[in-house]
Amino acid sequence: METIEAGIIDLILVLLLVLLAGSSLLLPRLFRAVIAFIGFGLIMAVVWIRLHAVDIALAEAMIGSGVTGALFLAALARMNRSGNERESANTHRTSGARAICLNSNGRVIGNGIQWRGVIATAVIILAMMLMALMVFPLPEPDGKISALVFRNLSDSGVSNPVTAVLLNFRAYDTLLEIGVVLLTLLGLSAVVNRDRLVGPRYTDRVLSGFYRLTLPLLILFCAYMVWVGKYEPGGAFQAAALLAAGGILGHIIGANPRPHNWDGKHLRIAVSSGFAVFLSIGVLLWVQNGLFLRFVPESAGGFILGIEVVATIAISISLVILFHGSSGHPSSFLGNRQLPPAAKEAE
Amino acid sequence: MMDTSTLYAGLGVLLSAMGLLGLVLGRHPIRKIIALNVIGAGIFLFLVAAAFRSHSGGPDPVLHAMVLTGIVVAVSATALGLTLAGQVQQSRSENEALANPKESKHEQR
Amino acid sequence: MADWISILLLLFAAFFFVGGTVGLLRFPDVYCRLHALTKADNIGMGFVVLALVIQADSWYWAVRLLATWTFVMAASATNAYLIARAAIRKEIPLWKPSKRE
Repeated sequence: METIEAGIIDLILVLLLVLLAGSSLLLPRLFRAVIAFIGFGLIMAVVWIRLHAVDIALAEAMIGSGVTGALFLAALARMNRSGNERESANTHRTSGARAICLNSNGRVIGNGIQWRGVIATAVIILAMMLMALMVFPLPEPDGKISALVFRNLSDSGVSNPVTAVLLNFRAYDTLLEIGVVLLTLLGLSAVVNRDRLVGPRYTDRVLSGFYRLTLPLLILFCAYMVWVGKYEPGGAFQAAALLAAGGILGHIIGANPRPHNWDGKHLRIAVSSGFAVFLSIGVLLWVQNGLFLRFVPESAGGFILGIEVVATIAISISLVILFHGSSGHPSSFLGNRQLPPAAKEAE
Repeated sequence: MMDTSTLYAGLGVLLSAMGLLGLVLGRHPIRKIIALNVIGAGIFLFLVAAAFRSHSGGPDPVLHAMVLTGIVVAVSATALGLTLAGQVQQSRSENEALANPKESKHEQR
Repeated sequence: MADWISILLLLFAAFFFVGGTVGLLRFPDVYCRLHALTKADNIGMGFVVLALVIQADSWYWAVRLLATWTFVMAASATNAYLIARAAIRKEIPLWKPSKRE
């Protein structure tokens, strides 16, 4: 460690992380486990700052802890609504360890030693120790790739190295990442059975007042975050998380934050526009410069900003729809069709 | 003593191992999804700790970009997994209610 | 000199945060815990922000820090209200001091 103080802080952070992760995995009541997980995400954000990864800290605090926590809490609320909080007695007991069986019920089941659990634990611990032995001590980095990035940073159109890597040097990865989010939405709309979606709305004066106070600020900060990502830690994904937070809050209170004449079709267009625009810019650059997604120093800044703006809107709408679909509220993203009658009879 | 990077890389391995154990041993689907996220967090910690050691001008931005991508993909996967888990549980409870209408009401309270 | 003031303010903040956490652990009731936690944590955060404002390089950063504190207060106040409302909906009873004989 560099200094004693840094060492003490590091040890405290390590201890906190292990405790919170252990709690989220072992606490019998799921609600407490989810709260522990949210805390784990926040301490993780502090660790990212300790490791000089500020962009990741922003993303982890907002997406990794905030949006994921909201998703878990909504799923728990949905589970409680349908009265399934306790595991049904028919649940197949596939694993356990010694006499302590993890049960979301809170009851410790003294079933005796479950050999499958013991063997699984032993195998995993052994495998991890072998991997740790092979990996540690960490080899010295040769730094060639990061030196390459820093050398070409001035030609990339932005001055934040992480944004340059995300949207210029490795833009293909980001294109596929946006594609993955789109795929998840497709999977969601394929899986969700709209007949089964039920959910109350929690309208309340305090909450809607808070919403009216913060939504304009969130939109402003989102725009700022997209713009500042060129120079300082920030960028499209963190901005999308800000806007998604506002959207999720809006959906919880039933505010339906979008233009009135938008329906499922418009939402689908907005959500796929991120991927579509990114792809078209890639093809445009192919035509101009000879390779797919090959940026040139003169025009790179403008293209990157354009991609970021569209991607922010698309990803924020995607995150809100993902929250919607997994929380059990009816969603018009999935279209206004009824289930075909044959499927209903087959049930 | 070990240096910062090795400490956090070791913590990353430990978290991944804990998450994997939780995934195998936990029974409720939501707990398994929590375990998946913990595994992901451990792996990201390992990557960023490795990026911390870089000698040129700052931490390695390529690894940072990978972790950023990973966080977004993880949240999408979590959302889809939670939706699936909710649908499965709902259909399971509906099947129970259909199969034994009196018994299931007795069980739930 | 500015550093010593910051350290003093941070110590105050730590005291308030610890007090809030002790309240979280020891108070008998959801409502009491919410009360202690929200008040103490907001004041603690205010002290942290003041300590940082003293260290700030320019007025721009000082205003930004104070704005952060304002937003956190608004969010945590709304949070506390929501938790209390959920507790009342679940009909969690208010703790009454028992008579000791």
